[in-house]
Amino acid sequence: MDIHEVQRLQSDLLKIIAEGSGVEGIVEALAKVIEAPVIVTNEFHKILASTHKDYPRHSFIRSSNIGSEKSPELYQINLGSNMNEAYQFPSFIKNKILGYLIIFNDGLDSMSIQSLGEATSLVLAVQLAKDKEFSLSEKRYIDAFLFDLLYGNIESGEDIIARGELWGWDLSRPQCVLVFELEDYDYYSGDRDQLEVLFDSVQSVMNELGEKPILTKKKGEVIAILFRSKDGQQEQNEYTKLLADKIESLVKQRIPSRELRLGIGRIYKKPKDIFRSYQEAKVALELGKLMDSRLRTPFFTKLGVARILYNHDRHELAELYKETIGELERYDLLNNSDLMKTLETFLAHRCDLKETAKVSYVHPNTLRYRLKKIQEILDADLDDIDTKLNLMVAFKIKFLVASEIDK
Amino acid sequence: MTEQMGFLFNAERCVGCKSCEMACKNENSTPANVNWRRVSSQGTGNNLSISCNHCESPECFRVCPQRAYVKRRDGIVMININRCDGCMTCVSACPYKAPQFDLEKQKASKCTFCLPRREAGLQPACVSACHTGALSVINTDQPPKNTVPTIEGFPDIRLTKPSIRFRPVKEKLRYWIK
Repeated sequence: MDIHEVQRLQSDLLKIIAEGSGVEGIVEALAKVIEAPVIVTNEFHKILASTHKDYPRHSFIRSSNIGSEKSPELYQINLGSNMNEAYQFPSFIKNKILGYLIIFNDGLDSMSIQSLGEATSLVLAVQLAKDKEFSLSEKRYIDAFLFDLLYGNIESGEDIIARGELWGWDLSRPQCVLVFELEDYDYYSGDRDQLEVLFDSVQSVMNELGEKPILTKKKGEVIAILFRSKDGQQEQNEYTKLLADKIESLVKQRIPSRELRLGIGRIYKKPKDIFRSYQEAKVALELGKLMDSRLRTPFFTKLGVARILYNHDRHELAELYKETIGELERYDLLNNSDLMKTLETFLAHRCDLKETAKVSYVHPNTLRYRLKKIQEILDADLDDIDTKLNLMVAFKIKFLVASEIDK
Repeated sequence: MTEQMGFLFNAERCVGCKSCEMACKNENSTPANVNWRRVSSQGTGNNLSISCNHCESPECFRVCPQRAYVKRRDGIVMININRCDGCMTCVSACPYKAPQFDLEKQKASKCTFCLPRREAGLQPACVSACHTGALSVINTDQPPKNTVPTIEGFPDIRLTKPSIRFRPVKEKLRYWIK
């Protein structure tokens, strides 16, 4: 392909942009000329347009460079089990990458592909910059509205409903807020791609189940305002749990290195109370983190006694803890035993001897002996419901105020 | 359109002179029992100056039954004292003891990030008064490099995510004290 042909293609693509056919138009025109599949992704490797049947739109790909000196743009493109070789060209303006153009290696000579790819990625940069500017200005308005909504800055419910209608949201329906976060994700130094994948996972699961929630990102959080779709409270909770489980399994598959954390606020009928649901979801998320997955369902309404404990004076809690199971902890330290773990497992399994023995891989008689030892050390009766409650609270305190207890 | 204003505190520079505390009192004419900013000695040779941290997830805002709190688009948490009925829920909920109960008015009040001063293009009174430069204002969405989210002696940040950053505290070298 000589320079004149490349120039002609470039001006044809510019014409496509001027006509408003967008990224799809560019991809189709290029695929027709080179007779090979073409993909365009955004900067986070999410496919914006594709002519390859194995790489559908909106999916995320992974690419790794396998290029040599002769063809440095050669990459391995992965999507699930699909793995193909392709040429990848970054589209950038002022060193800022806006997206990638991917041309599948279909027997074309690398020199032609290189000149074509470079010319097209420049045209593509113009279109991607235009798209980004447009979506950013729209996002700015939506973000400002959602900020006001989530922080209760709009007083009148009618005003909220009217403004929601601008974006097609019926905020007159009862709703609750779900907050998603990735474990140990630091917004300032974290990998922004992962947050984008999390956002997309939430969106795709919700869409799959026919939900149209309001989704937004705020620092390291993905926030979803979910409209109530079931009549009964129990039914709605089960449905929300199902949604959360589906999202969790998808995120586990897409980001295996990080664990997903989630918090769910209460359902409110009035849109001006959404801010409460948002704050509650964040409390449920944080407490869920502290209780180290002991809250299987991260609903704010199911936090129980932990909701009171976390707000209580930390020193007083640490005192209560020491007085309740401090002796046992000391015994463990001195004798190099693990009776604390035994007691914790016993309580976590509803004080069921058989079940605890099974999960701890010990004989029930061994467990009986250990529990007797614990009773002696603590000078307490493990059959007494008050003692059980105190011990349960003490273990909850342990996870909430670990730092104070250490001191 | 939205940002998050916050404080940057350098414990190594703080000499515990309480100028910030006095400047806050003077600027906002708070009564004797109300201290929007407080300086406390940590016993390790360092001091800590704490006011409202205008948190990402403000507990005062969440627990207030009267909806007296708002979080502005610049991240500042404000209280509308006309709505406050003096129930003190916020006073006990805040881990930093930012909302203070005014015994005379029987209402809660708290740091406003010196909003009138900021509107006039000035720094908050505490920051202007700090002659060692231990306190400064930052946009916590883009925090300066070499800062940490918490230091020893600062209350738990996990739940409320306060809008404050700290310069890391280095161990003091005292060659003349054995």
